[in-house]
Amino acid sequence: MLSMRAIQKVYRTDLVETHALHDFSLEVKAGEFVALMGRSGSGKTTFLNIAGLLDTFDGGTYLLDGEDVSRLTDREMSVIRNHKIGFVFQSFNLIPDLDVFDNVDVPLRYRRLPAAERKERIARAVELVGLSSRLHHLPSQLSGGQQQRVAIARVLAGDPRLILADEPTGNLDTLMSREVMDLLERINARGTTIVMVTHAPECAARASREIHLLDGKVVDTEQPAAGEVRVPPVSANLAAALA
Amino acid sequence: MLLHNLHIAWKSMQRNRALSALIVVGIALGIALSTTFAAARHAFAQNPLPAKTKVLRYVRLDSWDPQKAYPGDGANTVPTQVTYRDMAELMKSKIPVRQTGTFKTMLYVFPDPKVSRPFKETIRVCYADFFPMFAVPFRYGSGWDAKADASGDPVAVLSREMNEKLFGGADSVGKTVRLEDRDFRVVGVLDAWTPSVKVYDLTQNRGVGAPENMFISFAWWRPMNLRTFGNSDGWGPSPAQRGIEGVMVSEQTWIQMWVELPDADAVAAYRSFLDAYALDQRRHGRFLRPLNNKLSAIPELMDDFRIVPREANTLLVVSLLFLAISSLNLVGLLLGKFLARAPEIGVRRALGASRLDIFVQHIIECEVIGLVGGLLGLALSVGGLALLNTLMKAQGARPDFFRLDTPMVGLSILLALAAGFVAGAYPAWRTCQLPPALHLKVS
Amino acid sequence: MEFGPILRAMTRSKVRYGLIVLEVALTLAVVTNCVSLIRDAQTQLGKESGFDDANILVVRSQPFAPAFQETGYLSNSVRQDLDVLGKIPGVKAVSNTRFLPWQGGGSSTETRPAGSKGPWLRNQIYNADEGTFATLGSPVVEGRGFTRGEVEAEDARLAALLANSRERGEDGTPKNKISQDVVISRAFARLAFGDGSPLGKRLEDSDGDQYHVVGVIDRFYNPYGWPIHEYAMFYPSSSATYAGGSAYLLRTEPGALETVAAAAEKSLLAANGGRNLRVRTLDEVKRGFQAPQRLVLGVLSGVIVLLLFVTSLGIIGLTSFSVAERTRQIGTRRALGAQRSDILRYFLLENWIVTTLGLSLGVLLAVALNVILVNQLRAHRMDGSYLAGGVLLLWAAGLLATWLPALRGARVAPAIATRNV
Repeated sequence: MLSMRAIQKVYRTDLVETHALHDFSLEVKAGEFVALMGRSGSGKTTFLNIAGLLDTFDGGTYLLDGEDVSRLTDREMSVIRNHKIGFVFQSFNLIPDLDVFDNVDVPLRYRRLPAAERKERIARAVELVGLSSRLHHLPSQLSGGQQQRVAIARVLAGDPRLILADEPTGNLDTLMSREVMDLLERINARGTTIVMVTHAPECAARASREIHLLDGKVVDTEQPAAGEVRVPPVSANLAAALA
Repeated sequence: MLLHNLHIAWKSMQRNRALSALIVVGIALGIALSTTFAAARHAFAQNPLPAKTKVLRYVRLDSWDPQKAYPGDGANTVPTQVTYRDMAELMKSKIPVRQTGTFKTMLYVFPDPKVSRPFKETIRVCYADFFPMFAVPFRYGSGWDAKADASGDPVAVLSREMNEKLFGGADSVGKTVRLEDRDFRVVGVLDAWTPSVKVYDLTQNRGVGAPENMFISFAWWRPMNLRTFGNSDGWGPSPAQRGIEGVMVSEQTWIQMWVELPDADAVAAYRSFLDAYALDQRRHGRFLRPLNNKLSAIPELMDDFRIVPREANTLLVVSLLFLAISSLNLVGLLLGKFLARAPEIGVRRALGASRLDIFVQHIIECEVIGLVGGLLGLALSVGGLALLNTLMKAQGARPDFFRLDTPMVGLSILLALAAGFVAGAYPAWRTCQLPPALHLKVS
Repeated sequence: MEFGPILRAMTRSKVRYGLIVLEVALTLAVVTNCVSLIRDAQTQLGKESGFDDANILVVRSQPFAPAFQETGYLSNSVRQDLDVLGKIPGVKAVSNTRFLPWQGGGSSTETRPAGSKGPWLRNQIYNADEGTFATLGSPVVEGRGFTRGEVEAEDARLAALLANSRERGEDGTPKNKISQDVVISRAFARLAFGDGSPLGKRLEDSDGDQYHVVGVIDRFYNPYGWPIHEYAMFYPSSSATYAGGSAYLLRTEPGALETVAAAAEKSLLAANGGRNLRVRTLDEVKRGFQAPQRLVLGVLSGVIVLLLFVTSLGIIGLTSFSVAERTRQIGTRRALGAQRSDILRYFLLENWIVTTLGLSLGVLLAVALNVILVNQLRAHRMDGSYLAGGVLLLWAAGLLATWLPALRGARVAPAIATRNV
């Protein structure tokens, strides 16, 4: 699904050069749920930006879904982001002026889908995250957990092959975190690849694999034993929705 | 606190000079235009003689052609001036405490050949009451008295400028001035006299222009065969008599007539007197139009004569709208400027500033901007008015016809403050709604 | 197009967008009305007198020497002046007339076709001599003008007639009627006699005096206090009095105005020094008369330019603010697959909606303002095409003003989205 070899990313200012990623390599197979851990400044966000085609890199090769993405134009990258990748951000990044429906609609419009199909996808995705009754609420009228669920619905509506999640529970309390993690697990269970950056061990523990980053390099990867996957209790309506 | 706020405002203006300059220039342009045209309109519209407004009345009679009204806007327009025969009859009334008929003529002045060549000068012809009626200020001597009007003494009053020209500014009372082939004795020299418009004669050129430089008695009209150099409108067959004799009996209207009536009773009495006169004339075959005599106070007269040019109104409306638009326009700029400083406001709020404090601080900043713009605009409007004055010179106006007097400066500053408020109220309100210390949380 | 979401998002900041809507509306109202007023002023300024304005000098002689009080001396001096002026190199034609174009007035009388009981028609009336029409550059196109002999004979005849009081009849008008040959303007001929040739027809005034039309000039326009700018009648006479002095019009070869002006003053004073002279070009007189309209024209044009500038600045300011405020949102949209062109289009569309709302309101305001101007300030009704033009202009200005800040918005890096606050 995602294959990075010897990726280099250097940030330059007039005074210093910072190697955000140094000879970074990583393989993620289709269907995996990978947690990326590391202290702040270890290169997690840089990795995410490059993986999500939000930023360019200075060396190495990156194959996304078998396609070399190192020489794509801005327009081609936009199309890939729109079709293949779904983002879940720490601070949700909902558009404050738009209600739930319009927020979930944003990526679908960029895909130029016909109105009827968009409507159907939005309805299904919002139902999956259990917010059908809040379709015309503004983000400011929702709790943090609900907002993050809207962001996840926005991902689901696009039906991406890869989900990149950036500290998805970073701004949430324990209860809400658990709801969000449940949701991600269910999505992964349906075959969507997830790469999640986090520094919460209890979240990382939900992943099928943990990777640790230090100074822009992968230090070790740990493969949890098969059958060790913990399935925590799921809230009733979420379970119903995912059934 | 105010001082502190002013200090903050000043600092803030210096922080982003380009933006501040843009904002200030926007207000300044609006203020400059509005002030210029408000002052221009004011020059025409202001009451030139407020002290006498209550008592002075201008007399107009509808002595016009029974077949059709005097040309003008409405069906009952009356002639702007009166005929000689009507003035002569009306002057017999004892109701007014003072009264005068007046017109302007042009005569050659023959000064001492050492002083200048002979020159043609506009001269006002009037009765003795003219000077006290229009509160004419004297430097030397005084006007003539009613006896001079009766006996036809060769006496003259000079303006300050004429006295400067002929006598080098010295007290010339008792000296003589030669008009055409007659010597006139100077009895009075005026002090500076600059009514905004020539209140006593609004029939021409909107009353724009300096008062005449010499005054002589109406008694000289016949002996010197004086012709009016103002408007003279008539109708009907020309009189059988030639020259002055003809004018005395003709329907030519050419005299401005003023009366001074001390109170409302006198005004009412004089009104009935005018109507009675018109009805009496009707028996002699004159005044066949519907009874329509006018006894107008100065403001009413200025309105009737459309002293304020329509251009002045148009330009004032347009420039006020311009000011409104440029202050609306500043809203966006100020909004950006204020919200960019959200972190600082968060700190202030966290440190105990109330919403009102933040609002006041920002409104004061807007008012400072408005005032700086206003002062700049005021300076620009001085230039604008100077330009207008050069244009108006072609129309015979005195060089300082348009000027910034105290009310206009006050208006200008008020407009600037209003513009500052219009531009700043919403941004300041938005700014004071920012939650305290939100931005203290740094990731 | 994402029309719906943009519109819905805009309703969350009504005040901010409302301000721009109001600004655009007021701008349209003011600009279109300014254009309308400018067109009014231009129409006024564009009125041609029909005379050779650019090559005419106005000379005024104001005698003070007592000798001028004697009629014979006065009329001799007029003849001498015409001679002197005619001999100045560069002078094409000279006339002694009271008519002075472009001073915003003149003299007028009332006449009507002789024998008709119709309404009195007000018309301008001036004396003319053999050179008047050539000097004005408005030749007699039908019939004839006047000769020197005719002018002198008329002067003598009228002087004799008017030397004594005219005896009155029953109706109060003089018993012996005067009849004079006159040249009238085409517009007045039409007013008095309709479309046929007026030659040989007669007009009368309220004294019963007769005016026999012998010639017509096509071109005559002289702004007057009453709406009689194009109605004129000229009778043969010289014009000079001791009190009023005498006035001359001179037509020069093109380019000779300056030299002739200097020479005229010098040679007239040399011929007779007992007077003061004033020499002006007709263009000076015209400029003085037109000064208020020129002022209005200049100021209003300036206001239009400044307003468009200020409004564009306002739009730039607001769009910049919008872009700065929505940097994160733009990043998110980019992350979710928006292309740069999508972002650009978003802001352009948003602005277009605001501008269009403003313009719709502006059309109403413009009409309202025009009604006020028409009623209060006697302006003219606005032409609908100015509104259409103003709408197009402001649409273009709005898009241009949005372009730069919107482009900056389109350049926001998608990686902004992962930056955490």
